[in-house]
Amino acid sequence: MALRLLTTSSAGAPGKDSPLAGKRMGMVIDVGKCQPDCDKCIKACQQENNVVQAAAHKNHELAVHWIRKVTIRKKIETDEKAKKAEAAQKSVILVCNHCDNPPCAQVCPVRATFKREDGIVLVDHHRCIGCRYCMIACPYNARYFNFEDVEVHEEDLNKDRPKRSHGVAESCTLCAHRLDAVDQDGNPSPRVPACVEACENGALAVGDMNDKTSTVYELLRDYAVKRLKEDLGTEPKVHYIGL
Amino acid sequence: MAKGDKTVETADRTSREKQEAGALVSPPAALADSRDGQPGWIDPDMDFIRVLSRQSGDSLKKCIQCGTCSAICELSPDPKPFPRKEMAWAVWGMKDRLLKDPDVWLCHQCNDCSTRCPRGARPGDVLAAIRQQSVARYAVPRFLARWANEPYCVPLLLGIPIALLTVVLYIGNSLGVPQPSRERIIFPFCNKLPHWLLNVSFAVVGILVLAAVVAGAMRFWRAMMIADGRDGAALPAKSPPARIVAALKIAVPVLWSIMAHDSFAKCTRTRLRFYSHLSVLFGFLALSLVAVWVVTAKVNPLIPDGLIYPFGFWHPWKLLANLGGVAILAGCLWMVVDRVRDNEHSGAFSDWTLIVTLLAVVVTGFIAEILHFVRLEPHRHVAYFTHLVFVLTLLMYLPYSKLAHIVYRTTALIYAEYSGRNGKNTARTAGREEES
Amino acid sequence: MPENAAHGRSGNGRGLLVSILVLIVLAPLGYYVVRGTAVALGGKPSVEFLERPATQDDRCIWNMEAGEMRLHHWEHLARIREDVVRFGKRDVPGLNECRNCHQSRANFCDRCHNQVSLTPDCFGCHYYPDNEHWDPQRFPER
Repeated sequence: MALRLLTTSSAGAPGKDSPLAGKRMGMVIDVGKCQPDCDKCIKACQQENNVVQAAAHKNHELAVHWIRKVTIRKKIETDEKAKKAEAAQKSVILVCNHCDNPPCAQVCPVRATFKREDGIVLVDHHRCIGCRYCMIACPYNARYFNFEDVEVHEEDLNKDRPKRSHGVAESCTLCAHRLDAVDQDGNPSPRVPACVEACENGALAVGDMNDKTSTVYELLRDYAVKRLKEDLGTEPKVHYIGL
Repeated sequence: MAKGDKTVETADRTSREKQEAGALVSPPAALADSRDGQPGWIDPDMDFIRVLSRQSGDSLKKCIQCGTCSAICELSPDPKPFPRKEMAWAVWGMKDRLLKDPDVWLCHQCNDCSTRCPRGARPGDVLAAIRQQSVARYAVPRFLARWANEPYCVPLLLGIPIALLTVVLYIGNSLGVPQPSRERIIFPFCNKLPHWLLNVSFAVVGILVLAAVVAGAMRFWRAMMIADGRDGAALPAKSPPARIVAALKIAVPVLWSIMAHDSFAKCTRTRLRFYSHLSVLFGFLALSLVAVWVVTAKVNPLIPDGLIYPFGFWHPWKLLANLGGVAILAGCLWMVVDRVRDNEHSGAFSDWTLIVTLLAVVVTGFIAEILHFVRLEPHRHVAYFTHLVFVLTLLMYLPYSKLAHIVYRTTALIYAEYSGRNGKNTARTAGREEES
Repeated sequence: MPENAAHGRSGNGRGLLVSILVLIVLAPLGYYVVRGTAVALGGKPSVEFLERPATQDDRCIWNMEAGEMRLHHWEHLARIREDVVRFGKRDVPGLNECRNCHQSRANFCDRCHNQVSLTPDCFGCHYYPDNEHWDPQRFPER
């Protein structure tokens, strides 16, 4: 493989040739296109990141959900408006919002949680000490902790991704491993995240908001978007159309 | 009367007669202490007497030459008993004769003589002091031997290995060995000090020490030969293979006798030293063998794949090394207890420095090993560096400290066997005529 | 001198003790002599040390000598991890790519780790099969 050869003194800091330079990754979720009964994105995420059994944990407080779907509905005043109320339900996909001011990264005592140069908030599992401070800090409840060793069945195992062991916190990574992927010659060949790939209705989009040709840029340009809990000042980068 | 003394008297009388007859006569080399070549004069070395006296408890002059010590000594051979004559020579300051005397090294300081001496002159301690002076005389180079025997030189003596190892570390760092980043938690010590550099450094020191030791032993051997009036080669007129065989025939039984601790077994006063010294000796042999194996692994034909290092706990060499360390620890602690309990013969400065250095080597070694297994960073590197300092101390000063007895006592014992001091005619069978 | 009787311990008992001690000290050397002779006489060592694919030479895809890998592989893996996780640089092969050639942990990673009494905790998270698994295309003679 003609990949970049390891030398004894490789630079550790990002430089001009860093693959993340100048990028700002964001996500756009079209609530209107999301079907209430469909959970393909959730299944795809679990499969991709080895959280299948963890998500299905019997004790829902120990379960790990990198991506969740919640149903919100307007408050029902009277029974006569019940049908209308049903129609007013919305399915909202919740993931880590990859904030620009991430509270989880601020409070992490060992800097295991950090915001990358391209805006993705990641956890360095080698460094995480399992204090769960980030879980307390996240206003979106998007952080999960592995209270047990992750058990993955053989048929569900994604061999190219590590599964986590007992004692580390984690959350949606925006499939950074897919976004960073390179081909045989070392050229970037990014793939979309698993959830985006699995959605048949086109409700999800992930891309570089600084890139004028990307889908998310166009969606943000053309549609009015809302973000969750914008008053908190976390500057989340997951935008909702039609919320 | 021992045979040796008669020889001197006869020579004196003969030389005096000859002198009266007007002939110019030069005394035999054994009488080098004489003043102006005149037989019968003694030129005492006052400094030597003072040093001996100070190091053996200031009781040297109490000796009345009764001979109890020679009678009681189990190691004293009948043809040339000791230590009575050595006490006489010491009181008279005959430094040259004493330092060429192999009997000084036949003594194993069992302290039988010191216990039985009716005047409390402590011949055992006197002989120990003579041995120390002997090491100082034959060591190469001499100034290191002077330093090794002075208490106030200890900081300097320790400072040299520390400085040397720091220099080696600096070289290791500046050779472009990859540095650990701040983010990483663990780095192995061989990042700071590559294995090959460590092995080469210790090999170089080992070779220098070996050269110094061989030089000292050869000087000692030659001195003993000259003192006995033997000039020329030890085993002449034989082809090299036959010489080697003859040398081995003399040396191998002596070496086995040393390993079997025959001399220690004859002691009555400090009988338990047999066990402590046996333990320390075999522990030291085991650890030295492992160290040599590791240091020479690159050129060892028995390891074709290269040495897998570090050893796992159940590796044969690791087990042997741990056993050796435990043996040295047990033996040294026993020696300490023995010496502390015995008020009269607790030992001099050179005895204690050797015990303390050995203990330091073994204790730091075990601490480094334990910290290595529990991966306590960076403490395990500090412990390992300290261990290296003490090992280098032990190795560097081997030819100059009490540890030199490895060389000198062995040489003296082989010489005794060769020259027939114990009554056997080995020298004659080796092709030399023994002078009566 | 040897022929004198030694009191305190009988001569024979002492000789036996010292002989045993000498044998203990020389035992590992004897083990290596025997093993070295067996290998030199043409037999393969009973356990082939590190499994390598038939088509690869001694240099890993990391372009390093085997000795360098043995001494520093964990440092390089850690640096690759930093590059991947913190800086998104994935153009250097990582542990997953090691698996392409060294397909079984039991014959590769565990060999050295067992010998030096190490239990690194990489494999609790990172997949590396420890069964004997040989890809017939890469290891035709297995």
